Amino acid sequence: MGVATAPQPWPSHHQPTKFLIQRDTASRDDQRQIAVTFPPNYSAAKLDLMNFAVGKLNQLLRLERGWDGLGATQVAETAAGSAIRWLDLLAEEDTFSPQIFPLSNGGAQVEWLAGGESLEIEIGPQGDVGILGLDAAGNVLVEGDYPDPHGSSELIMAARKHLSALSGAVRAAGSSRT
Amino acid sequence: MDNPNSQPGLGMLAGVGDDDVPISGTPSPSFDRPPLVEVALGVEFSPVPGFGAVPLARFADRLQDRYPVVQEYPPLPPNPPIGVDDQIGGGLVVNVGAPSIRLWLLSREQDQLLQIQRDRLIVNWRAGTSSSSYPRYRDALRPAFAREYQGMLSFLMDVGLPTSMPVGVEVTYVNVVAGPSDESSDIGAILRSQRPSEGRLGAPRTTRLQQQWKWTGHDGAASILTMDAAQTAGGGSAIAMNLTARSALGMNAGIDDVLRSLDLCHDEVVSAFVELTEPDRHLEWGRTS
Repeated sequence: MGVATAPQPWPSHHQPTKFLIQRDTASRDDQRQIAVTFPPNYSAAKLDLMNFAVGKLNQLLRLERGWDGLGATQVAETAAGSAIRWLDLLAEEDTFSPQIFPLSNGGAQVEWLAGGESLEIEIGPQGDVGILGLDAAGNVLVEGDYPDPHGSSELIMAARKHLSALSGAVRAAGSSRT
Repeated sequence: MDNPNSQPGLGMLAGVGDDDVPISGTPSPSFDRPPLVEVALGVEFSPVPGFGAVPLARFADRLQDRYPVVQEYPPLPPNPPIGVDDQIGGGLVVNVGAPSIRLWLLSREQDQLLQIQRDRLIVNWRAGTSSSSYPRYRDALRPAFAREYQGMLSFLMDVGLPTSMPVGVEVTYVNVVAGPSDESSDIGAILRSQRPSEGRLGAPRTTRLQQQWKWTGHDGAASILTMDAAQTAGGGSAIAMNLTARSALGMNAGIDDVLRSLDLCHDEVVSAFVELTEPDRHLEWGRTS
């Protein structure tokens, strides 16, 4: 599964054979950035969302220490990388763009809001993740952390389902206006 | 596959102390002549900021007595969280900061390999051209893993880099069973589940098989066992069989949790090998317990 070096008779599921490289140009002597390599069969619709997020996170990485005027830590590259990985895990082709903002501890938050419902991914500076999904009445629909020794598959599936419902609501609202 | 009577085949791996963390689990089934060609013991952690090419090269310098050969490779992508289907998520690779690399640190004989990258440490033993036999998990591989992992943590501290946050461990055993000269080298003669059809179809021309099982690791951790088996040219060709056990870790897992999880992953792989393969072949491989 990737860690072994012996020749394998089956194709690796994890190693793209051809790369489309999306890399922000470093315009300064500033190495603080993330660059994402997408596999060749990556969904074009999702690619737009991911490129938006990569651009936004790279903007956040350029924030200086104390960006909030109160001594906030710079956004950690590990947090930005983790945000992209979790966005990839949770988003589908029709997922609308989230709000992405920095946290004073060096983390970042990715958040979707629609009709009073929400899904928040709070990423710590070491890449640890907390997920919270609420309905319009403030009831908790999704809640969990990563890493979690008891597994994250149920959390991921619940968060995907909630995000899909939010995207559906946004789509429905958009079509009712037209 | 551990044989308590055998001597470690690799002197440089023997005698490494990791007595602080007693080996977990129960004694494993053991074979004198397991069909192993490679073992990989790994820990995955959140990417350590700043642990790029220069610190990795310095880390390699620190280990050059044991691993004089250094090679550079692209990094392995992160594993998906345990239990999450590979089809979820697009298989993308995220680089933070400067492009990251993976170093292979090889022993002179190239049978021992330490793979190190920003978010992964893997200790491999490879049969390769070495005349030595499988050096055994408890006698040599686990102590080597403990030593190199502890060494990496010390290095990070020494050079002022942040500590790593382990998220999971994995153990892979690569078996190559039978070969062109073996008359009984049909995959159905190796794997219990693959006995050939007695009807018109008979033995398959090629086989590619992946199976997964959930299991419970250290402290109830979510864990998964994967078997990949393939025989690409039908009967008479070698059968490759990989067994990989992965287990999740909690946010504050220490080195003792990592080692205990590794022990249980090892036990799971070895037990699965015994359960999945034909008892007739166990005799051929010299099962001793």
